[in-house]
Amino acid sequence: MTQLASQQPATKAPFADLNLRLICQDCQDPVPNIVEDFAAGDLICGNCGLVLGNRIIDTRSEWRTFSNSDDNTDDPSRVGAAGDPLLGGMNHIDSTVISQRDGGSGAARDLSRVHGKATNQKSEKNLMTAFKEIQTMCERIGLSKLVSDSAKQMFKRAEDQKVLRGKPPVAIMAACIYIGCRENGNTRTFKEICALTKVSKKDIGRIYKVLQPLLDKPSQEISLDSYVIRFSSALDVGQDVIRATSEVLKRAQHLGTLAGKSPISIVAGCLYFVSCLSKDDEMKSARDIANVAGCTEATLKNAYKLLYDAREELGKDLRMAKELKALPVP
Amino acid sequence: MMMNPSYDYDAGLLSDEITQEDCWGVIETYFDDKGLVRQQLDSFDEFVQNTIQEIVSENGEFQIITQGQHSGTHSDVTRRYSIQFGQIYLSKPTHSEPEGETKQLYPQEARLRNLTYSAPLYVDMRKKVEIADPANPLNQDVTSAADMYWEVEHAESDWDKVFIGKVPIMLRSSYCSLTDLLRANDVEGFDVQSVGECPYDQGGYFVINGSEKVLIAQERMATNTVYVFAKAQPAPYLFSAEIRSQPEKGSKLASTLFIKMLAKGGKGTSGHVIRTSLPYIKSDIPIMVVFRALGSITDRDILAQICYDFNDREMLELLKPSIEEAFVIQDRDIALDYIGRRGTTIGVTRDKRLRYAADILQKEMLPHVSTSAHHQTRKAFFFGYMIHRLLLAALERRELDDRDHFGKKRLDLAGPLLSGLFRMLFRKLTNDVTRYTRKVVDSRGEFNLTMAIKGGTITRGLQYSLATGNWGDQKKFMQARAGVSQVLNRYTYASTLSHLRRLNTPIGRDGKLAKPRQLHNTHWGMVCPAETPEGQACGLVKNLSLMSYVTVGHSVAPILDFLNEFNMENLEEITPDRIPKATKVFVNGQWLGIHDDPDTLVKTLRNLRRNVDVTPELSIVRDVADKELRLYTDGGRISRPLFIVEEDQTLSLTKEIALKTKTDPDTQMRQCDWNYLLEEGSNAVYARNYTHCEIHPSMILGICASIIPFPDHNQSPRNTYQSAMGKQAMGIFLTNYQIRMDTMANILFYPQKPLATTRAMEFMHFRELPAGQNAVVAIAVYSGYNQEDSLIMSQSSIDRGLFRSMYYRVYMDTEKKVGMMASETFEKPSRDSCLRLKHGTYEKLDNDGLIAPGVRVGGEDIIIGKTVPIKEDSAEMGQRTAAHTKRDASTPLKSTENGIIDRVM
Repeated sequence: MTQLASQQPATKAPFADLNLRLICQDCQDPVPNIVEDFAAGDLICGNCGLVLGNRIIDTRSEWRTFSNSDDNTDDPSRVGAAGDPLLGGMNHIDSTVISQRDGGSGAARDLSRVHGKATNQKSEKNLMTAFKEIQTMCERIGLSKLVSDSAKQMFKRAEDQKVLRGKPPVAIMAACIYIGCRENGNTRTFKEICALTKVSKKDIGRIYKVLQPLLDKPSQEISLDSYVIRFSSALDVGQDVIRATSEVLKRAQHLGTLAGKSPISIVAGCLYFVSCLSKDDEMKSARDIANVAGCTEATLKNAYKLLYDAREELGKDLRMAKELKALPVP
Repeated sequence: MMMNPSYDYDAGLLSDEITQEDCWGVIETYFDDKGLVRQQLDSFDEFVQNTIQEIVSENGEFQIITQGQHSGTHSDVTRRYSIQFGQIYLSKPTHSEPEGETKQLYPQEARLRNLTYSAPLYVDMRKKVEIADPANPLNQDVTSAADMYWEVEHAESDWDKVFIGKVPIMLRSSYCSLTDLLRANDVEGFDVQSVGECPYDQGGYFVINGSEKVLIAQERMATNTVYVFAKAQPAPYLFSAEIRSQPEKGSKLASTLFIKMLAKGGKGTSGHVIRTSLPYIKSDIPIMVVFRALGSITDRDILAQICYDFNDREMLELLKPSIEEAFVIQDRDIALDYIGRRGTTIGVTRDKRLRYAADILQKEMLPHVSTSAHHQTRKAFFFGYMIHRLLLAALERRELDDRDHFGKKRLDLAGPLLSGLFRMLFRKLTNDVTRYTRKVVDSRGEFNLTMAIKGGTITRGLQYSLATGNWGDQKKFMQARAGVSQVLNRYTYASTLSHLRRLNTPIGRDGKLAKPRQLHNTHWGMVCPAETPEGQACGLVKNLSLMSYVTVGHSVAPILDFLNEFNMENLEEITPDRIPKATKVFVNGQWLGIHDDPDTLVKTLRNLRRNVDVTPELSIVRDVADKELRLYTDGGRISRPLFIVEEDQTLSLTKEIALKTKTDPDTQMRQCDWNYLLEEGSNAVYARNYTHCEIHPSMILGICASIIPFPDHNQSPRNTYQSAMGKQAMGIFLTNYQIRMDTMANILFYPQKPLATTRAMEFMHFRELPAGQNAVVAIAVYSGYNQEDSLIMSQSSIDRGLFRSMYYRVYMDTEKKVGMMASETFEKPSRDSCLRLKHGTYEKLDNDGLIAPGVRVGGEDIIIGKTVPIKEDSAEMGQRTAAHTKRDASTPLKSTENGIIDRVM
């Protein structure tokens, strides 16, 4: 009834195309409309209703347990852990370990050595330890799984393409975490990464420059809003300040008031600008803001000066406690 | 017209007699004060407020020593790096957003966003580097590192408030965000409703990854109690005395000690010899050898420590074979050597063997008596007491012990369970820090705190166990206990309450033994006689009675101080011949001494407890027949309040106080004594006098059985059946059901308060959150379609809304994303670009791939549209064309269901 045809190998791929193709004998449509009926176990042609195959295997994920005892024995019908897409194809090998029943000597040692050589376990092990370290560092500053996964992925890419031979792994990890954060829209400053990893800013920057071309797409813009939220949270200021700062930031970017300044000083300047407009007991000093943002007070003041000059435009309808007049003259 | 005074109901109110109504007043104040899940909350608070700090202080110090190489160079010194964990700090539950913002978390947000309701834990750390310079004159002749003179090399570096992990917080416990809201109750609009919480929810559970988890209390045998059992013959031994000994502080596992009276006599002896097991010793040791190793050498001394009374011929006769058996060992060193030879050390010098045996006796044998040196007398006395108990049983002077006696059971609640887990995880954390420090020291790198401390260890460990119920290490989950943590039952309010008061006995369900499943006399007032499941877990899963409470455990120190002040004679200071006449005093199973005037002692202790001069949790058990006074302060005992009966057989509760209770709960509580686990100890003297009085007999029932009207008029299994079915009733499980996203929820449209209520329903808010409706029922043969337990209902009453209900189901899906890789997207799949579309209609989806609230949906309609990119090289059996880039992964409605989309989040 069915006709299985293996097509000619695709021209560009070095491997033969091993895909199975199914064609309805009656319709002879090269692009068949095949319906899988899992309840009946049939493959049916959607156009004419011809049953093309029966007893098909349901390939969807399956959650039933077939063990009857409730004494918490693991279901023997399930084998191995879930695959980790981060490791690519490698994790199949990873799951096989030679037991050390004879105390790690004799046959077991030989076997595991051969196995290790055959599977290139060492590089895999290195990768695993690096992943673990990235994970720990990311957790420490409360980064999401998405970010840490991106960082790991970046690290693997760097390792695979061997672009950073001989660089200290911690520095590579630091740069990867930076990229991971940035690509997922919540950028950390270099300073924050430095504090986390104890790697100098220069090293991170250098490696970052090498890694950047490895990204498939142009790297994300630095998300200033996440700076605003984080700095405000660290400074413990109210929601109104966060809202107003984001507003000022948006206007400043639109007007180009702070074009050419570094993102940190832009955010710090805006925060200071708004903070000066809030109630007396909620005001934060320039030094506090500079400390949290990780820039010098002078840079902050410089940015503020530019903002002050454009205060009429920037400070319109901010609904803050004080009038624009209250802004200190730089 | 004359009024007959006996019909005057008001007379009761005016007289001084305490009426039932007064008792209910007392009960009401009890529940107003404590609520129904107090045992959970107190247990968790104890863990958070005391136990965590204890565990950290106990395991919080380690040292790394790098030995000098004796090369003679100046820099070649022995260095010691020590790291110490100090004060801990627990914050309120928080959550960190990916942007880096940290804000306070409320339970409802945790439930909706699948977060864990947990609070960060911080600890103060200190690092110290010391050196011992061999050139220093003080170190000239010292070889061992411990004796060297150390000087501080580096100024100590302190790190304050280092994050070490997040601890899940029990709702409504003292660290819960809701507790603050409840305290600030007076402030307008600032209550639990403002954060989406139902005011009837009583907490006592955790929120882990958005799901509510309860820790089920685990029943276990009490430690430090001597049990004497007879062994069914034929068996190698006739009687055994057992104890599982565990010191009050510290994490050591209980060490078991068996004393056995053998069925057959030893070689050259004239009867049943008695031998004992010792920890780490392979074979059983004759008891006399143990006594001699403990320093009681002469037969006379030993016999005095066992029998106390030399006129007791029968008992002495029983000991004769044992004396004969140990005749060859008459010296302490020989006895120690005898024990040491049977230990794990082989081929060591005699000196080491003696030390090894002495160490075992000091540290491993009966550790609850003492683990420090110079307490052999005390240990010998306790050992003798155990043999005494064994002999009493052998002589049939004292009953054998009952394994199922509830007084010897303890319950492990959230506190002890979590502390066991936390101890294990904290050790793992410190081990990691040690390993890291060693690596840093060896490679002379810089100590990076962020790399040293892995906050994930504790966070993930606690979360894993709470989420799965496998209590123990994730790697060895086969050994771990399963089912300790369960998803909180939210069928109906009563089922939730009942679940929070459940206890489990972790013995095999398939065991044939009926004894542990049976209702025991000592369950009276502690666990519900009716509420237990049927089938395999019958009698093993129990439920606490309404007023019972589980103690959290208190320090014994104040009790010890009091006893010493109150003329208790310490064991070291007495001669054994005084023991038979005096009363033995035990505190938490440890024999401390004797007292000549137990009457006054008990009276004073009771008064101290009633005035809260010692902890009100103290249990005082006076065993007149056996001349023992047993005091308990440990955690996990079940307790319940009772009225105090004065010596003149009147209630100490007066009418005046009973009426006042409604306004001033404090005065009342003092009039109810906490009767903590009365042990057996019935005797003729006390049978004539009452010491306590039941508050109300219906308080022996649990949550579910308290809903049954007139349970005392039912056949007992009927109450058990109803207790199981009451948990499946439909009503309103919580008032905030519209903003909760439970996977399944049933709501009854017009729930009614039952016509036949019980008083206890009031405390379970059964009137506010009822489960069911009152129906008019006729029992009649109508058509035959109502045979047995079926019934016929009136269509018109159904049409008018009888038993009308609503069913909520949550469909949930996520866009899976791994790092920066191509990922799933929510969108409306189109037939041109998508393969394998499902047959339901996609028309109801908006362009964002989600359905809008208010849309009527039916079987297999698509409500969440999602697509997955297809791999480049897959041809999908030839169906794929160039335009096909995605595969459908949408969620259809269940084929049998239909309804209206209520909410999209």
